[in-house]
Amino acid sequence: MSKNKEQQLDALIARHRSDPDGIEPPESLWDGIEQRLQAQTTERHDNSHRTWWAAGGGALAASLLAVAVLVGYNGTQSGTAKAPYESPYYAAAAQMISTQAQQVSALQSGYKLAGLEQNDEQLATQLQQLANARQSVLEALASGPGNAQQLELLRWINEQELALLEQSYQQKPTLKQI
Amino acid sequence: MSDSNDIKLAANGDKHAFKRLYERHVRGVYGMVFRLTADRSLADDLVQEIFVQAWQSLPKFDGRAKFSTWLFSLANNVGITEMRKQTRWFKRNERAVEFNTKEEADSTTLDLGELDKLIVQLPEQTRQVFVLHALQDYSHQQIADMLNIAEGTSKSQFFRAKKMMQEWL
Repeated sequence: MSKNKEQQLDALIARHRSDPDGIEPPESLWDGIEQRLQAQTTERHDNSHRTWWAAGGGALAASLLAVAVLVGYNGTQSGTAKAPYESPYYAAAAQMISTQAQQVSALQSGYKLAGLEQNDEQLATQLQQLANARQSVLEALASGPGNAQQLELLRWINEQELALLEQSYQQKPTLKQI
Repeated sequence: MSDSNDIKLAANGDKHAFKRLYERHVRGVYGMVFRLTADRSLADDLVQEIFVQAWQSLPKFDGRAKFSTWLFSLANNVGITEMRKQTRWFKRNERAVEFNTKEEADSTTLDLGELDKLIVQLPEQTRQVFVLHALQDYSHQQIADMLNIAEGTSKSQFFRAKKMMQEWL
């Protein structure tokens, strides 16, 4: 083995150590990673959702209290208020509430058609709390210029309502007596 | 945007920031894993696993080491662990002791440097010892522990790797 080849190899190793060469991966590699991250995020979200609702009315009440505080705070910040019902935020909120009512109705009809009913008192209480919170947001929007944060709160309340209904039917289905 | 900003964002769930970290470091990680495996398909799987684990572990990254050092250490652990799970890895290691001939590495379509072209031709265990010792600075004792071989075997495999590569130059 020539000394020259030994030196040649040592030089290649030294060059690599001082400036390691990377290798370009296939372009699609990130797609696979992203899909796995997405799957994990969804799973984590589902788990936290279950945990959140499993905590019961206390957690819901605490969250809705925060909503009420925010709504109250924003409602009093309306310095140059437009007249009630003229705000584009109010119009958007009214549309969101109408769409939500249709979605809730369709969801409940679907479960009833499948022979499932939900007669949980706690559920009824929580749904009522959400309805009250929604009404508070709507009133705050009607009494001031409104803002995107209030719409975001409304969207959150609507999401909680749908999630609560879905969760309640999935966790405690009661077959309707025929 | 710097690594440190993206690390903070990614640790809080920002996938765009994590993608930027991926784009900055994937070539290094891929190179390291491919040198150990000399198998594109296996390297693809392992690199995906490494970055998924990096995403999960990012909130624990305390910034005491450089991010690249932390990532490479994680890559090495995941790489060796995952490879050891595979039965074919053990079969290859047995085969590596038996044959002195060049292995045909699955390196088609990859743009390899001169050293990498030599590395991928080495038998499996010989290659792993060479990569871990010569390029990643692991001691023979550490390699012996990682690969579940004797320290003397690690030393002789390293000597063998250098001889083979010198012949091919």
